[in-house]
Amino acid sequence: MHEMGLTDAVLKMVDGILEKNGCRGASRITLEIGDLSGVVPRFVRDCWEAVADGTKYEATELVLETVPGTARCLDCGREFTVNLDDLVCPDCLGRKLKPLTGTDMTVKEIEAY
Amino acid sequence: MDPVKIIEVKQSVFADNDREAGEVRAMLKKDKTFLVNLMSSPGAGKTTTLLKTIELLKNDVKLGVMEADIDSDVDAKKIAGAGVPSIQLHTGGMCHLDAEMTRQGLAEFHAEELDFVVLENVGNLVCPAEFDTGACRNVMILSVPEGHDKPLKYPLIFTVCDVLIINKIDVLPYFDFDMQLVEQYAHMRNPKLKIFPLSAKTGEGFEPWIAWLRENIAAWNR
Repeated sequence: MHEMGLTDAVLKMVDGILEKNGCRGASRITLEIGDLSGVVPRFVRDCWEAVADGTKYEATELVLETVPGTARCLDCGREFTVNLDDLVCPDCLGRKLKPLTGTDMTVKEIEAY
Repeated sequence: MDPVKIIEVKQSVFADNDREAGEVRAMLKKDKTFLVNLMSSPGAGKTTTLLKTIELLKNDVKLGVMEADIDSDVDAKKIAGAGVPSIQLHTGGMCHLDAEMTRQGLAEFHAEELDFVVLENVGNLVCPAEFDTGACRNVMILSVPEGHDKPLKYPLIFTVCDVLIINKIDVLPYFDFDMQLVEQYAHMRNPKLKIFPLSAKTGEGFEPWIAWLRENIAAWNR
């Protein structure tokens, strides 16, 4: 359900970008999904099919790229790759982490016509 | 065949909502309306806590409640029964409210005439935490039967909240709920989090929570 709202937001965002660029449609949309964003790419794909159904995006190819999550340990300063199941510093086992990358979901590029 | 062009976008899906949330907050500041986004899992006692809070504030604060639910009006009816204006927002199957839905709700509700509005979010500890609704403060309720380990299992919601209400303290003797541990775990996620243990059933512990609300309503609406 969470992904539903996000994919709907993607569709509206793409609508706006196409209009601004004087384009009629998109043959491919590339999304970047961060490992720490809590967004599940597989669900995004399913939801996209649902929100695109009956719209001009029915035939649009959706490309999903993942962005690794990295964080800095606020105790020892080490930076490392991290995933949501294991939010702990590999060095000092500190749990106070500041996420650095992989928290976002972005529309990377659109192949438009 | 039309020529194909590649548009480099690099635009965050979350940022769109964040921008809108910022606009909602600016409007609330101008209208002198303090909006609290209330979150919890289903059954933690959002509506009961709200009813008690209303009872203690309604004589001297102009307040209203926006109830967000996937598809029912059970809660809005209960709030209307307490004698304060309420509206029901349906998210249409979605698991959270976003800033745009909040904006529409506030407009329909004529929230600018109120000092204090509570947005009761969909019962869920995951999705509402990820979407800024545009509220001035975020408050979450965790109830004793849910267990003291929730800050470890749902870290994000604890980081985005200003206040943690620990509800149902009247049943503490029947559960292995460690109050010290929950405070420790919650502060690990968010050192600034204010914690108010209370019971919406007996009314115990409400004074500090009500005092916090009065102080924050006054500061926002100054």
